[in-house]
Amino acid sequence: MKAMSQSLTTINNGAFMRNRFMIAVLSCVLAAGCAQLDIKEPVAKFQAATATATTTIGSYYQELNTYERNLYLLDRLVDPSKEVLLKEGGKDTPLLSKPFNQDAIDARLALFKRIADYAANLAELAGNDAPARFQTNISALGTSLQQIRTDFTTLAQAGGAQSDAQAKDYIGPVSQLIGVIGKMALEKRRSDELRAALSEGEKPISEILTFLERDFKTYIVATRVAGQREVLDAWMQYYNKNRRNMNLEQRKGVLDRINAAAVDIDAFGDPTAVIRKMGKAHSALVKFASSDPTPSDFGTAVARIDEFVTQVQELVNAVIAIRDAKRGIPNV
Amino acid sequence: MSKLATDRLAGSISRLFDLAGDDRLTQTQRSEVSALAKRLRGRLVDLLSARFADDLAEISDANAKIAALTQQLADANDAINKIADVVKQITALAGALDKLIVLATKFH
Repeated sequence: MKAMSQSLTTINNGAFMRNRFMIAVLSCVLAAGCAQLDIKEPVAKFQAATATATTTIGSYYQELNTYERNLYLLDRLVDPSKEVLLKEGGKDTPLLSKPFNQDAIDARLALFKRIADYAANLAELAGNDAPARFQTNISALGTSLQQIRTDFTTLAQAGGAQSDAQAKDYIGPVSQLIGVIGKMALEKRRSDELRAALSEGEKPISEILTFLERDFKTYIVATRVAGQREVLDAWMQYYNKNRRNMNLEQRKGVLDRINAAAVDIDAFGDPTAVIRKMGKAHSALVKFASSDPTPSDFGTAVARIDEFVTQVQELVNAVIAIRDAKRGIPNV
Repeated sequence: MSKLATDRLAGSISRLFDLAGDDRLTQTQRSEVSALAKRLRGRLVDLLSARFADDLAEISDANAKIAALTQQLADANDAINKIADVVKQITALAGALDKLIVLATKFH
């Protein structure tokens, strides 16, 4: 969390960011000739925010299985009539088994990171120089995506506990993106072909982000929101049934847990909003990189990047608020 | 491929937890609704990644039951006045989801 907070120190505050678009456009108009639209700083912010978003969303995803185990144990903690078991009715409990497929989680996080890398690399095309570094980076990205496509293909074919019904959706757009990247890597300089490839990349990127948003929503939002309601309910039921037999200190302990659960529900950051903003930032970067950028294109790209950065900050703030409320309270 | 309406199910579970914290229900009713909400959430987690055969009748049945429950829970006052019906509806849905878990395993 400390590293996450530090990585955000370069991110501007909301009030300033709202004016960034106009400031950027006016600066260019007023500057003599506006010969060079320097997008390096905004892109550096985009990359920093992307790293933070990946870490934050990753923490939600990585905690899914631990979260289910904690929820199972909480149910036993507040209800002494229930035993702690490895199997119930022939079915594994979350004590040792993992309800969520770790490979499916890892594949989506890796893809999210690569899409962010792709968007950031588009900025390499912004200057007047031949995009040599872009071509090196984009080739490496193509190789990474090939491995990710293999992972999704394996997941799509798996059955039983490793089943991943949504995995096959990714294979088509990832393959298309690999094709687009292949074309980009062949171009030696900025050209109409390269620009065409950039535009061609928008469709698969958009589809991938849509699928990631859907899966983040399903796996994180649906399970965590309903799960936090279960945590709150467990402590409320426990308090209401036992409050007359508890002393002041014991009641305070339970009420602190109820408060932490309520804060968790109230402050929950929606990771899907981050994905949506990243999609918009990507589209703006494509427009900026695929033509001779105008001050308006530059301003739009900066504004979209700032919106994405703000959304990431909100997600981080939610995580911090939840962790603060839970300080000193073990597990859920 | 058939798909379970998991988002709608998650929404209904949250509404059930609302009812479990409402003192217009008796303590016994609240405990019952709470236990059923937990059961449904357990099934939600189990079925999130499950795959089913195309046009599976059991999926259509479960989705119809989820839709009916969502409808019943749309008006909290109405749901409280008809809590016995709501409990019956949740129990039927939980049974339908239990069946789906078995079918998902068989499909593989």
